[in-house]
Amino acid sequence: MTLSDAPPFDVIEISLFGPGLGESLAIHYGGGRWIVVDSCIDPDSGAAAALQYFERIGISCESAVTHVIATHAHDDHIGGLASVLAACTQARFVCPVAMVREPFIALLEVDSELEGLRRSAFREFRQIQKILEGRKNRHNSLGSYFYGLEGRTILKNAESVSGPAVEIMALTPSDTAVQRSLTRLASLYPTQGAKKRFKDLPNETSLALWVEIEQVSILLGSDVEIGPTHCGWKGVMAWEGRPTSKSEVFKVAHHGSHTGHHEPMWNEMLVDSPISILSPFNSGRHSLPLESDLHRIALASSRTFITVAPTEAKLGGSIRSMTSTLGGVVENRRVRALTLGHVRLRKHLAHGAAWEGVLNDPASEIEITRLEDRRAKVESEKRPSPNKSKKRAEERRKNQRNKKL
Amino acid sequence: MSTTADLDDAKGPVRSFDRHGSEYLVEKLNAFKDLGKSRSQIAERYRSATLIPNQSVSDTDPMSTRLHELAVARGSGTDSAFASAAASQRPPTREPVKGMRITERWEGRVLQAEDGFFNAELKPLGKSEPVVIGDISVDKVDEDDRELITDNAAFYLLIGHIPITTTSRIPVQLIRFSRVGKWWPTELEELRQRGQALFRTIEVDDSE
Repeated sequence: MTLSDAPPFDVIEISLFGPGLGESLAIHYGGGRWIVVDSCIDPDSGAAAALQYFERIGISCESAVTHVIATHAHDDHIGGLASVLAACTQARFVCPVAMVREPFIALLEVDSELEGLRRSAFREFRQIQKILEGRKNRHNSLGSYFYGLEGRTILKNAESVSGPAVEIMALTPSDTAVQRSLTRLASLYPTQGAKKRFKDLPNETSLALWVEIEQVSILLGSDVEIGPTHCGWKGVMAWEGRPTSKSEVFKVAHHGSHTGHHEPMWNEMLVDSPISILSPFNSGRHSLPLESDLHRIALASSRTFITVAPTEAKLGGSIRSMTSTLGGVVENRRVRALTLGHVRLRKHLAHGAAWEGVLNDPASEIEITRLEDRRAKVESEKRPSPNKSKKRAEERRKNQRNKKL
Repeated sequence: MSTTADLDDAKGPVRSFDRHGSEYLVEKLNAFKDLGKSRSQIAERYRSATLIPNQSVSDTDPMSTRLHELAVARGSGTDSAFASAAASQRPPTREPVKGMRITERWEGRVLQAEDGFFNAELKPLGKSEPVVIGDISVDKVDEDDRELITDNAAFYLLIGHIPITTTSRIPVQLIRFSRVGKWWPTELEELRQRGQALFRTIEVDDSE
C-alpha cells in the first residue's frame, strides 16, 4: 500500500519512517506546514525517506518545510539529512547545543581524515555546514544553526488564518547533560600517538521534543535514555518548567530499549495508554526493541506501531545463494531488513476527533495477544519433549558407564 | 564504508591479501602434521584433506611446484620451510603467493567485538546490498590483525582459490583488517587549526 494523499490543512500528521536501521519523522502541524525530525535513507531508492514521501504526496518541501531538526549525531538518525536540508530551502536547521560547540566541530575535521572509517553522521554534518554557509545573508537567519536545549522554544506560532497554534520545545539536553557531553566530546579528540579511529558519540546530546498543536500534544523521545542524574528523562522530570499537558502520541525513545524507558515520565508526561510509535535498531548482536520491550510498551499503550519488525530477516533463497560463499567464515548469517516501513497517524483538529493510523509495509501494529502467543510458542519449543528427555538421560547413563570402564 | 574513496583504494588491500596467501597455505599444511615427510607424502595427505576428490597429485604436478615455489620464496628447502613454520606455529614471513584467484570481495565493519568472536556487517565491495550480519571467529583472522578487532574497525574479506591443477584447487577465504595509522603531532596541529577556522565560520542563532 502506498500512502499518497496529502493531509488537509486542518489535519495534523505524524509520519514515522524506518528501514530497520534509521528513523525519520515528518510532522504536519497544520496549514500545509511541516517539520522534519531526523532522516533515514530508503534502501530501495537511496533517497531520504521524508523527501520521497513529500514528492509522493505532492508537497513542495521548498516552501512547506519550516524546520529540519537533527536530534543527535548518530548514523541511524542522520542518513540523508543534508539532502533534506538542501531541498528544504526555507527551513531552519535545528540541532542539539553540543553540536554547535567547538569540541564537536573539531571532531568534524578529525573525521574527515579517517579514510574508510568515517562516520556518516559527521559526513552529513560537514555537508550541512556547507549548505548553511551558502545560505548566510543579512535578511534572515537561514544560514545559522538554531540549537536546542532544555526549555528552549524552537517554534511558536499563534493561531492564525494560515494555520493552528503550534509550539515546539526542546525537553533535553539539560545543562548537566550538555556539560557531560562536551566533556565526552573533548575526550574523543585524538592525542598524539593514538590510533586513528573513533568511538561512538553519547546519547546524552539527544534532543527530545514536545510538540503542541492546538490542544494536541506529542512527545518525540529521540534516543533519550533514563539518566544519569539531571540528564535524560531524569533531567526532564527534575525540571520544574516542563510542559504540563500530557501527550497523546509518543515516539518511543531509544528504539524501545529498557534504558530509554522511565516509568515516572510515562506517568507524568503521557496520557493513560497513549499511542506509541517506534522504529527498530537492527544492528549488532542484539536488535532493539527486544520482545520484552515490545511487551512492556504495548501493555502501557492503547496502540503500538513499529516501522519494521525488530529482527533481521532470515536469509531468503536468492540472498542465501548470493552469500553462500561466506558460509565458511560467517556464522549465524542474517540480512538487514531492506524495506522502508512507514507509520502514519492523522488527526483532525476538530474537538473529539480520534487518531487514525495507516501502515505501509513492512510496518505493523504490535498486539499483546500475538506477542503472548509467540512467547508461549517459543517456550514450548524450548521445552524438551518427553522422548528427547528419555534419550538424553540414556546417553548420560551410557557416558557414565563408559567413564567407569 | 562504501565511499568512493574506499573503492578507489580497493586494490590496496587486495595486494596485501595476496601476500597473506602464503601464510594461509602453510598454515593449512602445518595442520596435517606431516612435517619431515617427503613432498609426495605431504601432497597425498593434502590431496585427501582439501582437494576435490579423485584428483591425482604427484611430485611433478603443479601443487608440488607450488609448495616448492613457496619454499624457495622463503629461502630454504620445502621441508625445512615447513619445519621452521611449524616451530613458530605461524609463518615467519609474508611471501607472495602467485595465482590466488579472487572471486569475491566483501567489505566489513565490526559491530561488536566479543570474546573469541566478533559480530560484523558485510556487504559486497562496491555494492550496497545485501548487507549480511553475522559472527566471525577470531581464529579466522591472522594473529597480526587480531589486535585490530575493535568496534567499528573496517576489514575486507576475500574469497577465492589457489589453483593446484587444472581441475583441483584450494578454497581460500582471507580476512584483512584495515591498518589504522597513528596521529602525528603535525597532523593534530593542522586539524586543530582547521577545526578552529571552521568553528569561527559557524553562525549560531542565540535569539529567544
